[in-house]
Amino acid sequence: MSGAEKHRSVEQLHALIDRQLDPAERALVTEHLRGCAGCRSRYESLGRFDAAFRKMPLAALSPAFTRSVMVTLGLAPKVPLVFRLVERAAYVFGLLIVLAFIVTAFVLGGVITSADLAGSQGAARRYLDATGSALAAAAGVLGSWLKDYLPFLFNRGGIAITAVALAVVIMLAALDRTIGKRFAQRLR
Amino acid sequence: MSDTDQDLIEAIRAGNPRRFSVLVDRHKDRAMTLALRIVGERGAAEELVQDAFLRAYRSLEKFRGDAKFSTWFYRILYNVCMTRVLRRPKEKVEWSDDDMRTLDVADQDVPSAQERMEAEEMQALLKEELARIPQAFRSALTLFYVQELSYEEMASVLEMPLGTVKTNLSRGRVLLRKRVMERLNEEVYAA
Repeated sequence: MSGAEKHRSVEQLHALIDRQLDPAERALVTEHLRGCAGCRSRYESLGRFDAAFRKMPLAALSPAFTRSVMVTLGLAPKVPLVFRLVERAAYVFGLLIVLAFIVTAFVLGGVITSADLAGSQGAARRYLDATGSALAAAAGVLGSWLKDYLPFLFNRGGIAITAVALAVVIMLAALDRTIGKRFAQRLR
Repeated sequence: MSDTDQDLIEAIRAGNPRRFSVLVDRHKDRAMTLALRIVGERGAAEELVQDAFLRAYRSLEKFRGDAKFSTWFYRILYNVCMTRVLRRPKEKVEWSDDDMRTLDVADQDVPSAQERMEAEEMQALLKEELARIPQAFRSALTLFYVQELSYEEMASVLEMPLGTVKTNLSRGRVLLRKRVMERLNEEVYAA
């Protein structure tokens, strides 16, 4: 490099890396880099930094985001029946497990015998009766528990207070939803 | 071959609005990266990206196709993010010509320090320091490197003169690089 020739500016070196120089300017800067070890070193260092920056990972959003946008726009495609069933499979399995527990309890408790399970008449009837009795017993247990621990629920004043409190909670929840929606629309 | 953004917009205009989901899928991650770098909180960024997509869809008829869809969309997103950011106390942009001069000094140690650092550590350092530089520089850097916009497209998104965009981009790179190098040198000397 001749002593009179100035070092290239950082902007020029960045523009060269970004391929934003016109051909004539590019040729001049490239020529300068061949003869100037200082600028070449700086150019290479800027290039390494540039490469590291380009490799920075993106902040990913899940596919559920796209669905949420489409739902908000009222454009969500209808989900095919098969997928809806798969989505609900968890609930179906849960229900089946609860049923299996009830049947097992009845079998172990002797309400349903092996003869019933083999298909003799009256099994369904006995099964329903037993379910009804179990539910009634559970309601009885819940009732006595409430009487013991929440006795105020069993007088008129308590019932009135509970009803008002419930109504207030429901009203606040409804208001929160409406106001929340309105605010969201205003912000948009 | 996958449809271009323009093909998708034409399909939407021709009565197939569900094709918008392809545009959302295609641009959501880059959009999220930009929003996150501007506002700094993931929840807020996601909300703003969603808002920008809703606005884009609702004003799609105004999109004339003079610019790329991405440039037009990022302008919407940038404006939405800036509306949020401007509610915060104003950030002071600290910059002096010394920053440019210290770059030359820092360069002497740069290659060795940079080479010694694992790529992952370098990425983490870049991410941390990027979050600390002024918002104007951060936006310029993100639009250039993540959105891969040209200087002219950046000027259109940021609604700034081309010269200002070039200056912000260059200063942003120098400042970020300087800070990363300082950290790298600290870690090298500490080791």
